[in-house]
Amino acid sequence: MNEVHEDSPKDPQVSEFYRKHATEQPSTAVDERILAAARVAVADRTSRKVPGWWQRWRTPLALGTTLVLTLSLALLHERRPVVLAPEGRAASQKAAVGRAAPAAATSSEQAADSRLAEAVKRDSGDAQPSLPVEVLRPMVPPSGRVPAERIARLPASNAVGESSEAALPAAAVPHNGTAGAPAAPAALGTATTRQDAAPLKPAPAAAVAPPSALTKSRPEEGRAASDWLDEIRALRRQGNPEEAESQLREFRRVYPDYPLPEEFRP
Amino acid sequence: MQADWSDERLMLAYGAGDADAFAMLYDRYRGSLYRYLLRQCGNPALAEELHQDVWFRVVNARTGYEPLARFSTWLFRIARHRLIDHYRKHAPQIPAHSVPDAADDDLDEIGDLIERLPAATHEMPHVLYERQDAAQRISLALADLPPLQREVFLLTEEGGLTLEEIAQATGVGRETTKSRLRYALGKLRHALRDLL
Repeated sequence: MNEVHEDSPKDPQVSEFYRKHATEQPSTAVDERILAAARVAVADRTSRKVPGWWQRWRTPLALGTTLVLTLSLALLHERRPVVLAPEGRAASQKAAVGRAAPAAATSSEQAADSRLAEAVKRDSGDAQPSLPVEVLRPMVPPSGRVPAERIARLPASNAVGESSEAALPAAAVPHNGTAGAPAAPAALGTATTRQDAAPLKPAPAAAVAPPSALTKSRPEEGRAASDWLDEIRALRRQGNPEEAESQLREFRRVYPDYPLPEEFRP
Repeated sequence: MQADWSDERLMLAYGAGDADAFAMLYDRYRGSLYRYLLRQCGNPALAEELHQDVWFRVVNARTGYEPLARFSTWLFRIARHRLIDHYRKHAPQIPAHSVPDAADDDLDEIGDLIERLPAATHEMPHVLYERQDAAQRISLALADLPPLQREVFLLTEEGGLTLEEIAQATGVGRETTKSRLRYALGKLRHALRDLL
């Protein structure tokens, strides 16, 4: 306590005498007031600073909850089946058809012809004689094989239309995924460059689409005839006979040999 | 355990919320600070008020405290400033010839102000001579010292400050401080020669 520099003036006797007799102290009341104020100051600070458990943990809890929700949604999305339910598929097909309509006015017809050509190729050829019925059903009328005159008519159509037909299944035939979207421009490009080409045969028409895209889109492409008819029925029930009639005409164009139920016959 | 801690460490601990550290620190300096104030103002009641104010300032400064100097130096500097505030506030009560300019911040003039302060009535030599014990004799001797010399002596004995620290706290040179301390010691020895 008493640090004095070496050259500092000193008088040990005076210092000792002073310390011995200077014994005054503050009163205990002052001591208590000061110590109480010191404790209160610290207590105030402590009570202000220490937060409750909720305040301490709310940020980690919020972050954890967000993480769990994000992971759950990601896992659910990943595990969702690729194939849509029939009504959902029909709706998405309609939407896709609607989107593609301005670009290709006769997309449905062309797509149907293209599918028909592919089916004919598959059916007439001996490559896949045991193709499942479920695959062929949407494309080929249940009556069985496509008449020979229809096969012959397909390549004899307008060259531009035919080349577009060959290309359009990827663009106009609705898909529920994005697989068809990249294929469409390429296929269209191929079609426009073939405007002056000779009439196409059915097989090359089907081959224009990339094999991978074709394979991928096969289970999803087109509506099944029965689904389509169900939609037409639904349109009638909803009081939309014009649209139902239009759809029926379309249906008959796509499936000319499909035996129409009684209610749809003229 | 805290008894071994330095003053600075105790003050930092108090700043961090340890009230016991403050109690330890207060116990170390309560007497010396009080006596410093008592010898300077000469009034026990006023000394207690000033003592309390100084410690309240320490409490309020706890979070901003940095051990740039020794705690004792910091504490007695606060006490000195509190004394000067008191002198300024009560300047009208001090005889006009004793106060050159109470509002002047110049340290020399503050020193003059302290220099010209009169001793408290009950500390006057003729009062104290009536009681002949040693404690009163030393109080008399200190009261008879010039205030600036008394201040240097008290800062040395009660605060434990070095010449450099006193010079820094009072705003004068080290040699001036040294000279004041030498004079103070000489006068005290002369006043107490029959008791030493």
